[in-house]
Amino acid sequence: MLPPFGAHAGAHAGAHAGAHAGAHAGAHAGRARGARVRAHVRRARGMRCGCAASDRPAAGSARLDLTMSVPARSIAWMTPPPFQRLLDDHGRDVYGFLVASVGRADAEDCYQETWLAALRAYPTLAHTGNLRGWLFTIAAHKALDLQRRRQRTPLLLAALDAAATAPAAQCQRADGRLSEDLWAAICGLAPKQRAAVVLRHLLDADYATVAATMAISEAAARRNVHEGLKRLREEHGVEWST
Amino acid sequence: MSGPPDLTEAFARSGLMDVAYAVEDSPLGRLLLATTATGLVCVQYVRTESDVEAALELIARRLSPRVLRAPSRLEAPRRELDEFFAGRRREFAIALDFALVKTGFTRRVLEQTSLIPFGETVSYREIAGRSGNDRAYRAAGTALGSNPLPIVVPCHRVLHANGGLGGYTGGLQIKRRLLEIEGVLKHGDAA
Repeated sequence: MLPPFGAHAGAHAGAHAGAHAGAHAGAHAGRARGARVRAHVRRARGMRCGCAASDRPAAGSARLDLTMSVPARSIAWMTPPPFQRLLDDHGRDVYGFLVASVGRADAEDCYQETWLAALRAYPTLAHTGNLRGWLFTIAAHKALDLQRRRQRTPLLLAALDAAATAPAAQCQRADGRLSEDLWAAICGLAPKQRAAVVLRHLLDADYATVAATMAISEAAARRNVHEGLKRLREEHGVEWST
Repeated sequence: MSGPPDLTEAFARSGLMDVAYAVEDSPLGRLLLATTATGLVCVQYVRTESDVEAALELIARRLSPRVLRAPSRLEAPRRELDEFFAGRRREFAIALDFALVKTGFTRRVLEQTSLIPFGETVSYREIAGRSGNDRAYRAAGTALGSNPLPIVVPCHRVLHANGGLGGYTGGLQIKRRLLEIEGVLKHGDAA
Protein backbone atom coordinates (compact mmCIF):
# COMPACT_ATOMS: atom_id res chain seq x y z
CA MET A 1 0.00 0.00 0.00
CA LEU A 2 1.53 3.25 -1.06
CA PRO A 3 1.29 6.33 1.08
CA PRO A 4 -1.42 8.56 -0.29
CA PHE A 5 0.76 11.47 -1.11
CA GLY A 6 -1.83 12.71 -3.54
CA ALA A 7 -4.26 13.07 -0.69
CA HIS A 8 -1.66 14.90 1.29
CA ALA A 9 -0.94 17.32 -1.50
CA GLY A 10 -4.65 17.84 -1.97
CA ALA A 11 -5.17 18.60 1.66
CA HIS A 12 -2.29 20.98 1.60
CA ALA A 13 -3.63 22.74 -1.43
CA GLY A 14 -6.97 22.96 0.30
CA ALA A 15 -5.45 24.61 3.32
CA HIS A 16 -3.58 26.93 1.06
CA ALA A 17 -6.68 27.93 -0.79
CA GLY A 18 -8.52 28.43 2.47
CA ALA A 19 -5.87 30.62 3.96
CA HIS A 20 -5.53 32.78 0.92
CA ALA A 21 -8.89 32.75 -0.68
CA GLY A 22 -9.82 36.00 0.94
CA ALA A 23 -6.59 37.76 0.20
CA HIS A 24 -6.28 36.67 -3.37
CA ALA A 25 -9.73 36.00 -4.65
CA GLY A 26 -10.03 39.47 -6.04
CA ALA A 27 -6.55 39.61 -7.46
CA HIS A 28 -6.91 36.31 -9.23
CA ALA A 29 -10.45 36.77 -10.47
CA GLY A 30 -10.63 35.75 -14.09
CA ARG A 31 -7.20 34.19 -13.97
CA ALA A 32 -8.09 31.10 -12.06
CA ARG A 33 -6.19 28.77 -14.33
CA GLY A 34 -2.98 30.73 -14.06
CA ALA A 35 -3.37 30.91 -10.32
CA ARG A 36 -3.78 27.18 -10.12
CA VAL A 37 -0.60 26.58 -12.09
CA ARG A 38 1.24 29.05 -9.91
CA ALA A 39 0.06 27.37 -6.75
CA HIS A 40 1.33 24.13 -8.20
CA VAL A 41 4.75 25.56 -8.96
CA ARG A 42 4.93 27.18 -5.56
CA ARG A 43 4.15 23.91 -3.87
CA ALA A 44 6.72 22.07 -5.92
CA ARG A 45 9.34 24.55 -4.84
CA GLY A 46 8.34 24.08 -1.24
CA MET A 47 7.77 27.76 -0.76
CA ARG A 48 5.53 28.98 1.94
CA CYS A 49 2.35 30.61 0.94
CA GLY A 50 3.59 34.15 1.26
CA CYS A 51 2.71 36.25 -1.72
CA ALA A 52 5.75 36.18 -3.94
CA ALA A 53 6.19 39.27 -6.05
CA SER A 54 5.37 37.32 -9.20
CA ASP A 55 2.11 36.31 -7.61
CA ARG A 56 0.67 39.79 -7.66
CA PRO A 57 -0.76 41.15 -10.85
CA ALA A 58 1.51 43.85 -12.20
CA ALA A 59 0.02 47.30 -11.83
CA GLY A 60 -2.29 48.05 -14.69
CA SER A 61 -1.42 44.87 -16.50
CA ALA A 62 -3.45 41.72 -16.75
CA ARG A 63 -1.06 39.70 -18.88
CA LEU A 64 1.25 37.97 -16.48
CA ASP A 65 0.57 34.45 -17.61
CA LEU A 66 4.17 33.31 -17.77
CA THR A 67 3.52 30.53 -15.33
CA MET A 68 3.93 27.51 -17.56
CA SER A 69 7.67 27.94 -17.82
CA VAL A 70 9.34 26.59 -14.70
CA PRO A 71 12.87 27.93 -14.27
CA ALA A 72 15.60 25.32 -14.61
CA ARG A 73 16.70 25.95 -11.05
CA SER A 74 13.41 24.82 -9.59
CA ILE A 75 13.45 21.69 -11.74
CA ALA A 76 16.79 20.82 -10.20
CA TRP A 77 15.26 21.55 -6.83
CA MET A 78 12.51 19.07 -7.48
CA THR A 79 15.00 16.23 -7.78
CA PRO A 80 14.59 14.36 -4.52
CA PRO A 81 17.71 14.55 -2.33
CA PRO A 82 19.57 11.34 -1.49
CA PHE A 83 17.25 9.27 0.69
CA GLN A 84 19.89 8.99 3.39
CA ARG A 85 19.52 12.70 4.05
CA LEU A 86 15.83 12.27 4.92
CA LEU A 87 16.77 9.52 7.32
CA ASP A 88 19.49 11.65 8.92
CA ASP A 89 17.31 14.76 9.16
CA HIS A 90 13.99 13.28 10.26
CA GLY A 91 14.64 9.74 11.54
CA ARG A 92 14.76 10.64 15.21
CA ASP A 93 11.64 12.77 15.09
CA VAL A 94 9.66 10.18 13.16
CA TYR A 95 10.70 7.57 15.71
CA GLY A 96 9.78 9.84 18.60
CA PHE A 97 6.41 10.51 17.01
CA LEU A 98 5.77 6.78 16.68
CA VAL A 99 6.86 6.06 20.25
CA ALA A 100 4.43 8.70 21.44
CA SER A 101 1.68 7.40 19.14
CA VAL A 102 1.84 3.62 19.54
CA GLY A 103 4.20 3.06 22.44
CA ARG A 104 7.77 1.86 22.53
CA ALA A 105 6.96 -1.81 22.00
CA ASP A 106 5.45 -1.28 18.57
CA ALA A 107 7.35 1.80 17.51
CA GLU A 108 10.23 -0.15 15.96
CA ASP A 109 8.00 -2.10 13.59
CA CYS A 110 6.05 1.02 12.63
CA TYR A 111 9.31 2.87 12.12
CA GLN A 112 10.64 0.23 9.75
CA GLU A 113 7.34 0.03 7.84
CA THR A 114 7.29 3.80 7.53
CA TRP A 115 10.76 4.07 6.04
CA LEU A 116 10.34 1.10 3.72
CA ALA A 117 7.10 2.59 2.38
CA ALA A 118 8.82 5.93 1.93
CA LEU A 119 11.79 4.33 0.16
CA ARG A 120 9.47 2.42 -2.16
CA ALA A 121 7.51 5.50 -3.20
CA TYR A 122 10.43 7.91 -3.20
CA PRO A 123 11.57 7.88 -6.86
CA THR A 124 8.06 8.58 -8.14
CA LEU A 125 7.34 11.37 -5.69
CA ALA A 126 6.05 14.31 -7.69
CA HIS A 127 6.50 17.06 -5.13
CA THR A 128 9.51 17.29 -2.89
CA GLY A 129 8.59 20.56 -1.22
CA ASN A 130 7.50 19.14 2.12
CA LEU A 131 9.30 15.84 2.60
CA ARG A 132 9.00 16.07 6.36
CA GLY A 133 5.25 16.40 6.16
CA TRP A 134 5.17 13.51 3.71
CA LEU A 135 7.15 11.29 6.08
CA PHE A 136 4.96 12.15 9.06
CA THR A 137 1.88 11.39 6.99
CA ILE A 138 3.22 7.93 6.23
CA ALA A 139 4.16 7.45 9.88
CA ALA A 140 0.68 8.51 11.00
CA HIS A 141 -0.85 6.00 8.59
CA LYS A 142 1.38 3.23 9.88
CA ALA A 143 0.39 4.12 13.43
CA LEU A 144 -3.25 4.05 12.39
CA ASP A 145 -2.82 0.66 10.71
CA LEU A 146 -1.46 -0.62 13.97
CA GLN A 147 -4.34 0.87 15.93
CA ARG A 148 -6.72 -0.92 13.60
CA ARG A 149 -4.89 -4.18 14.04
CA ARG A 150 -5.26 -3.75 17.75
CA GLN A 151 -8.98 -3.26 17.12
CA ARG A 152 -9.21 -0.27 19.31
CA THR A 153 -10.78 3.04 18.60
CA PRO A 154 -8.58 4.54 15.92
CA LEU A 155 -7.40 7.41 17.99
CA LEU A 156 -5.39 8.94 15.19
CA LEU A 157 -8.09 8.86 12.54
CA ALA A 158 -8.85 12.54 12.38
CA ALA A 159 -5.26 13.37 13.15
CA LEU A 160 -4.29 12.21 9.68
CA ASP A 161 -5.75 15.24 8.02
CA ALA A 162 -4.12 17.43 10.59
CA ALA A 163 -0.79 15.70 10.07
CA ALA A 164 -1.05 16.19 6.34
CA THR A 165 -1.63 19.89 6.56
CA ALA A 166 0.52 20.71 9.56
CA PRO A 167 3.91 22.24 8.95
CA ALA A 168 6.88 20.76 10.76
CA ALA A 169 6.15 20.19 14.41
CA GLN A 170 5.61 23.38 16.31
CA CYS A 171 7.70 22.36 19.24
CA GLN A 172 11.22 22.32 17.90
CA ARG A 173 14.38 23.35 19.52
CA ALA A 174 16.65 25.84 17.84
CA ASP A 175 18.31 23.09 15.78
CA GLY A 176 14.96 21.88 14.48
CA ARG A 177 14.84 18.59 16.39
CA LEU A 178 12.55 17.49 19.13
CA SER A 179 14.53 16.68 22.19
CA GLU A 180 14.63 13.15 23.51
CA ASP A 181 13.69 14.39 26.94
CA LEU A 182 10.49 15.82 25.54
CA TRP A 183 9.56 12.58 23.82
CA ALA A 184 10.28 10.62 26.96
CA ALA A 185 8.21 13.06 29.00
CA ILE A 186 5.29 12.79 26.58
CA CYS A 187 5.45 9.01 26.77
CA GLY A 188 5.17 9.27 30.53
CA LEU A 189 1.82 11.05 30.43
CA ALA A 190 -1.47 9.34 31.13
CA PRO A 191 -2.94 7.89 27.90
CA LYS A 192 -5.64 10.52 27.47
CA GLN A 193 -3.30 13.39 28.19
CA ARG A 194 -0.69 11.95 25.89
CA ALA A 195 -3.15 11.54 23.05
CA ALA A 196 -4.50 15.05 23.53
CA VAL A 197 -1.05 16.63 23.65
CA VAL A 198 0.17 14.72 20.61
CA LEU A 199 -2.92 15.60 18.62
CA ARG A 200 -2.98 19.23 19.63
CA HIS A 201 0.70 20.12 19.54
CA LEU A 202 2.49 17.61 17.33
CA LEU A 203 -0.23 17.27 14.73
CA ASP A 204 -1.59 20.76 15.20
CA ALA A 205 -5.21 19.67 15.39
CA ASP A 206 -7.70 22.18 16.76
CA TYR A 207 -9.63 21.37 19.94
CA ALA A 208 -12.75 20.36 18.06
CA THR A 209 -10.73 17.79 16.14
CA VAL A 210 -9.02 16.57 19.28
CA ALA A 211 -12.42 16.19 20.93
CA ALA A 212 -13.94 14.37 17.96
CA THR A 213 -10.95 12.08 17.61
CA MET A 214 -10.97 11.10 21.25
CA ALA A 215 -14.74 10.99 21.48
CA ILE A 216 -14.80 13.42 24.36
CA SER A 217 -16.19 16.91 24.77
CA GLU A 218 -14.20 19.91 23.64
CA ALA A 219 -13.96 21.06 27.23
CA ALA A 220 -12.50 17.71 28.18
CA ALA A 221 -10.06 17.95 25.28
CA ARG A 222 -8.86 21.33 26.51
CA ARG A 223 -8.58 20.00 30.02
CA ASN A 224 -6.52 17.00 28.89
CA VAL A 225 -4.17 19.17 26.87
CA HIS A 226 -3.90 21.63 29.72
CA GLU A 227 -3.25 18.95 32.32
CA GLY A 228 -0.74 17.23 30.05
CA LEU A 229 1.20 20.42 29.44
CA LYS A 230 1.04 21.26 33.12
CA ARG A 231 2.50 17.89 34.02
CA LEU A 232 5.22 18.25 31.40
CA ARG A 233 6.06 21.63 32.87
CA GLU A 234 5.94 20.71 36.52
CA GLU A 235 7.45 17.24 36.45
CA HIS A 236 9.84 17.53 33.54
CA GLY A 237 10.55 21.23 33.33
CA VAL A 238 9.39 21.24 29.70
CA GLU A 239 8.18 24.69 28.75
CA TRP A 240 5.94 24.44 25.73
CA SER A 241 4.41 27.57 24.36
CA THR A 242 0.86 27.17 23.17
CA MET B 1 15.52 7.09 25.55
CA SER B 2 17.27 5.00 22.93
CA GLY B 3 17.46 6.27 19.38
CA PRO B 4 15.66 4.84 16.38
CA PRO B 5 16.65 1.33 15.25
CA ASP B 6 19.18 0.87 12.45
CA LEU B 7 17.36 0.02 9.24
CA THR B 8 20.33 -0.78 7.00
CA GLU B 9 19.58 -4.52 7.01
CA ALA B 10 15.88 -4.00 6.36
CA PHE B 11 16.67 -1.69 3.45
CA ALA B 12 19.11 -4.22 2.00
CA ARG B 13 16.60 -7.07 2.30
CA SER B 14 13.87 -5.01 0.67
CA GLY B 15 15.81 -4.83 -2.58
CA LEU B 16 14.98 -1.13 -2.75
CA MET B 17 18.46 0.15 -1.96
CA ASP B 18 19.51 1.22 -5.45
CA VAL B 19 22.80 2.78 -4.37
CA ALA B 20 24.76 1.96 -1.21
CA TYR B 21 27.61 4.18 -0.15
CA ALA B 22 30.28 4.54 2.49
CA VAL B 23 32.92 7.13 3.28
CA GLU B 24 36.25 5.49 4.08
CA ASP B 25 39.64 6.70 5.24
CA SER B 26 42.53 5.79 2.97
CA PRO B 27 46.23 6.70 2.71
CA LEU B 28 45.16 9.13 -0.04
CA GLY B 29 42.54 10.85 2.10
CA ARG B 30 38.86 10.15 2.54
CA LEU B 31 37.12 8.25 -0.24
CA LEU B 32 33.43 8.04 -1.06
CA LEU B 33 32.61 4.58 -2.38
CA ALA B 34 29.24 3.81 -3.94
CA THR B 35 27.87 0.60 -5.39
CA THR B 36 24.78 -0.53 -7.28
CA ALA B 37 23.53 -4.10 -7.69
CA THR B 38 25.74 -4.25 -10.80
CA GLY B 39 28.99 -3.21 -9.15
CA LEU B 40 31.14 -0.36 -7.90
CA VAL B 41 29.80 2.79 -9.51
CA CYS B 42 31.71 5.65 -7.89
CA VAL B 43 35.01 6.31 -6.15
CA GLN B 44 35.55 9.91 -5.22
CA TYR B 45 38.08 11.88 -3.23
CA VAL B 46 36.10 13.84 -0.64
CA ARG B 47 37.81 16.40 1.56
CA THR B 48 34.75 17.99 3.17
CA GLU B 49 31.21 17.06 4.07
CA SER B 50 29.98 19.25 1.24
CA ASP B 51 32.07 17.18 -1.20
CA VAL B 52 30.17 14.14 0.06
CA GLU B 53 26.83 15.92 -0.25
CA ALA B 54 27.59 17.07 -3.79
CA ALA B 55 28.67 13.59 -4.87
CA LEU B 56 25.55 11.98 -3.38
CA GLU B 57 23.30 14.54 -5.00
CA LEU B 58 24.86 13.82 -8.37
CA ILE B 59 24.30 10.10 -7.82
CA ALA B 60 20.70 10.74 -6.75
CA ARG B 61 20.10 12.76 -9.89
CA ARG B 62 21.92 10.54 -12.36
CA LEU B 63 21.14 7.06 -10.98
CA SER B 64 18.42 6.94 -8.35
CA PRO B 65 17.42 8.94 -5.27
CA ARG B 66 17.32 5.70 -3.28
CA VAL B 67 20.81 6.35 -1.96
CA LEU B 68 21.62 4.90 1.45
CA ARG B 69 24.66 4.62 3.67
CA ALA B 70 25.54 0.94 4.01
CA PRO B 71 29.24 0.28 4.67
CA SER B 72 28.65 -3.49 4.81
CA ARG B 73 27.77 -3.46 1.11
CA LEU B 74 31.18 -2.02 0.29
CA GLU B 75 33.42 -4.46 2.09
CA ALA B 76 34.85 -6.07 -1.06
CA PRO B 77 35.95 -2.84 -2.78
CA ARG B 78 37.27 -1.48 0.50
CA ARG B 79 39.35 -4.60 1.07
CA GLU B 80 40.75 -4.56 -2.47
CA LEU B 81 41.63 -0.89 -2.22
CA ASP B 82 43.38 -1.47 1.11
CA GLU B 83 45.39 -4.27 -0.46
CA PHE B 84 46.25 -2.05 -3.41
CA PHE B 85 47.45 0.76 -1.14
CA ALA B 86 49.52 -1.73 0.84
CA GLY B 87 51.18 -2.98 -2.37
CA ARG B 88 49.58 -6.41 -2.14
CA ARG B 89 47.20 -6.13 -5.09
CA ARG B 90 47.94 -5.32 -8.73
CA GLU B 91 44.48 -5.84 -10.26
CA PHE B 92 40.96 -5.27 -9.02
CA ALA B 93 38.56 -8.19 -9.19
CA ILE B 94 35.38 -6.39 -8.14
CA ALA B 95 32.56 -5.84 -10.63
CA LEU B 96 32.20 -2.31 -11.97
CA ASP B 97 29.15 -0.33 -13.04
CA PHE B 98 29.85 2.29 -15.72
CA ALA B 99 26.45 3.93 -15.23
CA LEU B 100 28.04 7.29 -14.40
CA VAL B 101 30.30 7.18 -17.45
CA LYS B 102 29.16 9.12 -20.46
CA THR B 103 28.76 7.24 -23.70
CA GLY B 104 30.81 7.51 -26.87
CA PHE B 105 34.43 8.64 -26.82
CA THR B 106 34.54 9.10 -23.04
CA ARG B 107 33.46 5.54 -22.43
CA ARG B 108 35.97 4.17 -24.96
CA VAL B 109 38.77 6.16 -23.31
CA LEU B 110 37.92 4.78 -19.87
CA GLU B 111 37.53 1.25 -21.20
CA GLN B 112 40.96 1.48 -22.81
CA THR B 113 42.39 3.00 -19.64
CA SER B 114 41.13 0.10 -17.54
CA LEU B 115 43.29 -2.18 -19.73
CA ILE B 116 46.59 -0.45 -18.84
CA PRO B 117 48.46 -2.90 -16.60
CA PHE B 118 49.76 -2.14 -13.13
CA GLY B 119 53.08 -0.31 -13.18
CA GLU B 120 52.85 0.84 -16.80
CA THR B 121 51.98 4.24 -18.21
CA VAL B 122 50.80 5.57 -21.56
CA SER B 123 50.55 9.08 -22.99
CA TYR B 124 47.34 11.04 -23.53
CA ARG B 125 47.90 10.81 -27.30
CA GLU B 126 48.36 7.05 -27.08
CA ILE B 127 45.18 6.50 -25.11
CA ALA B 128 43.30 8.76 -27.54
CA GLY B 129 44.61 6.64 -30.41
CA ARG B 130 43.55 3.39 -28.74
CA SER B 131 40.13 4.93 -28.28
CA GLY B 132 39.83 5.64 -31.98
CA ASN B 133 41.17 9.17 -32.53
CA ASP B 134 44.82 9.95 -31.80
CA ARG B 135 44.30 13.67 -32.42
CA ALA B 136 41.72 13.92 -29.66
CA TYR B 137 44.28 13.83 -26.83
CA ARG B 138 42.74 16.88 -25.17
CA ALA B 139 39.33 15.24 -25.27
CA ALA B 140 40.97 12.13 -23.83
CA GLY B 141 42.28 14.27 -20.97
CA THR B 142 38.78 15.59 -20.36
CA ALA B 143 37.37 12.07 -20.47
CA LEU B 144 39.92 10.91 -17.91
CA GLY B 145 39.11 13.91 -15.75
CA SER B 146 35.48 12.77 -15.64
CA ASN B 147 36.45 9.24 -14.53
CA PRO B 148 33.90 8.27 -11.83
CA LEU B 149 36.07 5.33 -10.75
CA PRO B 150 39.61 6.66 -10.19
CA ILE B 151 42.23 4.21 -8.86
CA VAL B 152 40.09 1.25 -10.00
CA VAL B 153 39.98 2.56 -13.57
CA PRO B 154 43.63 3.66 -13.49
CA CYS B 155 43.52 7.08 -15.10
CA HIS B 156 46.65 7.90 -13.07
CA ARG B 157 48.60 5.70 -15.51
CA VAL B 158 48.09 8.25 -18.31
CA LEU B 159 50.87 10.86 -18.44
CA HIS B 160 52.23 13.53 -20.74
CA ALA B 161 54.46 12.19 -23.52
CA ASN B 162 57.31 14.42 -22.28
CA GLY B 163 57.21 12.75 -18.87
CA GLY B 164 55.11 15.41 -17.16
CA LEU B 165 52.41 14.12 -14.86
CA GLY B 166 49.49 15.82 -16.62
CA GLY B 167 46.43 16.42 -14.47
CA TYR B 168 44.43 14.57 -11.83
CA THR B 169 41.05 15.16 -10.23
CA GLY B 170 42.24 14.35 -6.75
CA GLY B 171 45.31 16.60 -7.15
CA LEU B 172 48.73 15.85 -8.57
CA GLN B 173 50.03 14.87 -5.15
CA ILE B 174 47.68 11.90 -5.17
CA LYS B 175 48.61 10.94 -8.73
CA ARG B 176 52.26 10.98 -7.65
CA ARG B 177 51.48 8.77 -4.65
CA LEU B 178 49.62 6.26 -6.85
CA LEU B 179 52.55 6.08 -9.27
CA GLU B 180 54.90 5.58 -6.31
CA ILE B 181 52.77 2.68 -5.10
CA GLU B 182 53.12 1.11 -8.56
CA GLY B 183 56.88 1.71 -8.66
CA VAL B 184 56.66 4.06 -11.67
CA LEU B 185 57.98 6.94 -9.59
CA LYS B 186 60.44 6.66 -6.75
CA HIS B 187 59.62 8.34 -3.47
CA GLY B 188 60.69 11.95 -3.68
CA ASP B 189 60.86 11.99 -7.50
CA ALA B 190 60.14 15.47 -8.76
CA ALA B 191 58.36 14.57 -11.95
